[in-house]
Amino acid sequence: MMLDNNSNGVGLVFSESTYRKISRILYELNTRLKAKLTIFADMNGYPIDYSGDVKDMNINTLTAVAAGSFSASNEMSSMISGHKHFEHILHEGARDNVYMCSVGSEYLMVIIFDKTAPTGFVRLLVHAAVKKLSQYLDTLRVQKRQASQFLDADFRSGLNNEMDRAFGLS
Amino acid sequence: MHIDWKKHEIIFKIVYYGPGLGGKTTNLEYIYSKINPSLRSELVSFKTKEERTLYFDFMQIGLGAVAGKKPRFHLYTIPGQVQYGYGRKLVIKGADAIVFVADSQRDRLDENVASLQDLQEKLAHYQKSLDDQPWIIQYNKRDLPKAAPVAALQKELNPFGVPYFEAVATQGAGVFETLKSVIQIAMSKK
Repeated sequence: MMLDNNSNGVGLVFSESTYRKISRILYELNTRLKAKLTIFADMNGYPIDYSGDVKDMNINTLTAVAAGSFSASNEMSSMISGHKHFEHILHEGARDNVYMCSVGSEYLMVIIFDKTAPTGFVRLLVHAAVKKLSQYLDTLRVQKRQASQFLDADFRSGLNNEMDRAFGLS
Repeated sequence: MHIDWKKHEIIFKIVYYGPGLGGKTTNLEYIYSKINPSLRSELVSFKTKEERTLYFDFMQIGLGAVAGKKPRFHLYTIPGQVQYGYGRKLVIKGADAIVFVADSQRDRLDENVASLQDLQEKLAHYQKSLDDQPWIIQYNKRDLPKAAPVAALQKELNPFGVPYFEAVATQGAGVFETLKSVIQIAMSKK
């Protein structure tokens, strides 16, 4: 763990090593699956990290849509079988498949891979990666709680100026 | 709010809520059409054949670095039609702030009230309420002849005393002012 001081001198616990480990898990999974893209995100649609070739895809938009799709499927699951949620979902496309699965109750994995890859193999490796990722979820939660410390006075005032400029309000 | 620690990005989730045909998507479309394209993503919409929002609209705005951090805003709309309540519940999950887009027309008052009640119910699902959730009101369609006076709308819809803006989203009036205000509200409650 290391401290990343913001301009107010407030210490933010930023676990660089945790992120390196998460990145490594995603990289290994993406490489072994020969997948195009592997995203680790939270259920609200924020990408935490990814591995693979983004090309011209907007990772934020893709993650928001994926999280929305996963949530919608879970809602369908609730309607069908009470509160039991889908743990994984497979979308089969013309060239690529998309496999999504929950990591705990707050996080999500999205893997885009060639449709010729055997789905069973994908599930097996993703399951193993999810188990590895699960040990870092508490650290992520702590960092989420500390996030508001980023919003110091300098940031707020600078953001107002930046909004005026970008929104044509100045 | 979400922090991307690697990229030093701070991401806020802003949701446009309100009755069907009130102008939520029009707000996003105007923002999309006017803001520098290098600052925004594509506008993704899930629409029915009748061009009504089926699930949500989504767009990201990314401003330049501020104090070494890059602010990002995820803008969502909810489907306003009554039958898509499940979608509304999912979209407001984790919202940092909400813009309630009210239709100013006199004959839409009941729909506005019903949508506000619906918002209260959806927030309750996440153990939140309109008292602790950062939100503002936008009175849209101020240009229409049937628009009720703002004082009358305030009386019916804003006993909470939250900030409000008048808007004509089709022409852009009040759209960016609303966006700036909701972002400020989102930050002030953190």
